[in-house]
Amino acid sequence: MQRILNNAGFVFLLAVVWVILNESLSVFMILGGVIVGIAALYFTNRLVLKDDYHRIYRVRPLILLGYSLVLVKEIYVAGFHAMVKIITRKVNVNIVEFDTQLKDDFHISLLANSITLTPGTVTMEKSGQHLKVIWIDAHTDDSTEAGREIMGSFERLLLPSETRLGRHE
Amino acid sequence: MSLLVYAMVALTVLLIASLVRIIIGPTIWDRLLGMNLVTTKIVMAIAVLAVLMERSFLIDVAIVYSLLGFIASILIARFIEKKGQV
Amino acid sequence: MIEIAGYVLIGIGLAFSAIGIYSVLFYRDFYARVVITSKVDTMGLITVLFGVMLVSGSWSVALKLLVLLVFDLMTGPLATTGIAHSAYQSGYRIKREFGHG
Repeated sequence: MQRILNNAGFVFLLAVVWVILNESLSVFMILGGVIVGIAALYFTNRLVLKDDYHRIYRVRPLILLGYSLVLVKEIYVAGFHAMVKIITRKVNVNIVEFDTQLKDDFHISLLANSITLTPGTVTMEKSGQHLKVIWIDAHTDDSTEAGREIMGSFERLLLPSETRLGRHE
Repeated sequence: MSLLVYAMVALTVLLIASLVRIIIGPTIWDRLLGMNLVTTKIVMAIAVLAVLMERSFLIDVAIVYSLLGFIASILIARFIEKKGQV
Repeated sequence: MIEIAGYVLIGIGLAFSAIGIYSVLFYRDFYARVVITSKVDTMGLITVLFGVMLVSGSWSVALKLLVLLVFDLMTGPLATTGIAHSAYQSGYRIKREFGHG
């Protein structure tokens, strides 16, 4: 029972997806969604993961919501920038490496995926806090400069989520 | 006749253009990249078709197709990475 | 009115995809193609799916399309990263873009 309460957020999320996919909002559907969600979490927890869900995927939901809005905005801003570069064929593809200040593994993965989603950059390798990124517009070789330009806004948004979670420990 | 029919025609043309990358791609990674593009185009086409035919269950097909395409490309990439040159 | 906005969005998204596929076909360097593919996937897909949401005009279909969009945004970058990582580990290096081709 305690473990179900710990994972209440995930169960709620899975129930919402279940209701959306069934296209009908009734008590029976919501109950079915909760039961299927608990079963899915139990089996994946047992068979796939090494630790509990709520200990690996720790992130503030509100920060995540604001983060995804910023992400969509950033995708369009960087997309138009990259499109001009691609059409005029002024590309200078190179691989840059830099370190991030984030420490939690899940947050670093989130950051790396956001970098790949933004047009113009693709994350290629992540080991610890070290990221290796393909950049279409590489005008600097300096590690800190490139890091600030590529992941600046994302990192600034994710840092408070991590530090606040750290204090809860 | 809805305007969405023209969108379907345009998507078909784009899909055939992405297939060219799979055919001419010199290495297997180019072909994987082309497969990624084709998967995205098919997902878009199924979503447009679902609204065009007013059958909402087709979107479920699109979700399953997108997840299967992801698993396929990840698995092939990992397989090649472990085997070395192909 | 909303429907017309949806059609316009679908047209814009298809134009993004067309530019991307043209570049993927005519660039010589593999890593440039990887980066361009990630752009096509994200921008074209987001724009077209938002357009389809507006055209459909029903909440249940729009929410389902949102679930599809979220799943695709989560899995798309992982596939691109997997392909790029695999190519780099197998010794495929950057080729300079000489001239126009």
